[in-house]
Amino acid sequence: MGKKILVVDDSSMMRNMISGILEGAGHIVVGNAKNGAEGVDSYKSLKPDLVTMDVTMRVMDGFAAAREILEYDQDASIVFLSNLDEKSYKKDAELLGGKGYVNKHKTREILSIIDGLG
Amino acid sequence: MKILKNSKAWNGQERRNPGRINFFRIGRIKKFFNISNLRKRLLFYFALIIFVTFSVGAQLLYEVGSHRLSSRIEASIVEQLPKEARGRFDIGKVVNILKRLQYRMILVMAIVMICVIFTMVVFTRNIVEPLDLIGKAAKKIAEGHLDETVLVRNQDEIGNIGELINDLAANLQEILLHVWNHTGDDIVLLDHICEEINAGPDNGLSPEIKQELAFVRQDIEDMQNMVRAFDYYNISLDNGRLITREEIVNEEPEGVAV
Repeated sequence: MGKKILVVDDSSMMRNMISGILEGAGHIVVGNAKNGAEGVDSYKSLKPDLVTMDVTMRVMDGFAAAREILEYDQDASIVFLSNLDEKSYKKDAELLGGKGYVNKHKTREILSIIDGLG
Repeated sequence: MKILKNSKAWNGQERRNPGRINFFRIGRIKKFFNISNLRKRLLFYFALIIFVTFSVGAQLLYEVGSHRLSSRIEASIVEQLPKEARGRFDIGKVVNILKRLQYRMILVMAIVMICVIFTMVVFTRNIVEPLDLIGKAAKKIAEGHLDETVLVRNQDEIGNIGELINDLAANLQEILLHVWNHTGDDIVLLDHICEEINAGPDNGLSPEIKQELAFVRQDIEDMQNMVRAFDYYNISLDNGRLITREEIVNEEPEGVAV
């Protein structure tokens, strides 16, 4: 069964692309947010099953937003999507409590991570 | 990033150095005259409104306060009075009414003046200044500085333009970094393929094919050079890796001179 997903990214083009991939796989994109602060607010109001979180964003970055979401809900599932070097940031994402780290040029990999979450 | 750090330190020294005060004053004067065309045009329109209002008001004030008008009024009233009442007519009362009218006109002109200046300040602050900022940010983004951000203060039409410009910069950044990551992977793959072919039993390919592969590699490198020509929001291209600018700051020792 598809999951309810919140997409947080400062690029509208990326939001559309990620939403297309997720919806194509049968998931439901319940909301979009263009920065971390909006992402935190949307999480609180929409209560999605999973959040795809960009790391580099204006206003509030993805790690700061994830920290706030996890403080609010320890069981929140957050998967980071970024152009940043995977070797350098994957560990940070895991230490923070993220369920995965996907490089944006391999965005489709997010589907296998979601499947792995059950 | 080094330059940023040192420029901050340099600015701090300048602020503490009283000998530089004249330099700053000249800078402020230059800044005052170096205003945008939109602001110049706005100042011109408002100056025109003030000039017309004052010209008309001053003309009316002059007419109302002139001896000629009171004489005409006196002559007109006296003419209509019966002969026996003409001697009792007091022009002083008419002059007082005209003076009161003058004071009221001055008051109205002052109110109009305050309203025009208030409108000009509000218009400048809410429309011209944000448009100026958006124009400057859009120019920098167009020049390749994708780290430039329009600060959106109000959620009105101007704020929406600012958000759209930020979105354009973010989209362009995504496309370019996408190209960077894919071309980086492609170069690694291409080098691996060439190594495998060269290590083959009969040293594999003809010189023409090898040259074509070299051209392909050159094309990919050209694309990477194009991506390098941009400044990215909070991201730096560091020896093929994409890392945040904070990481570069943390890696650098403090107080390093340029």
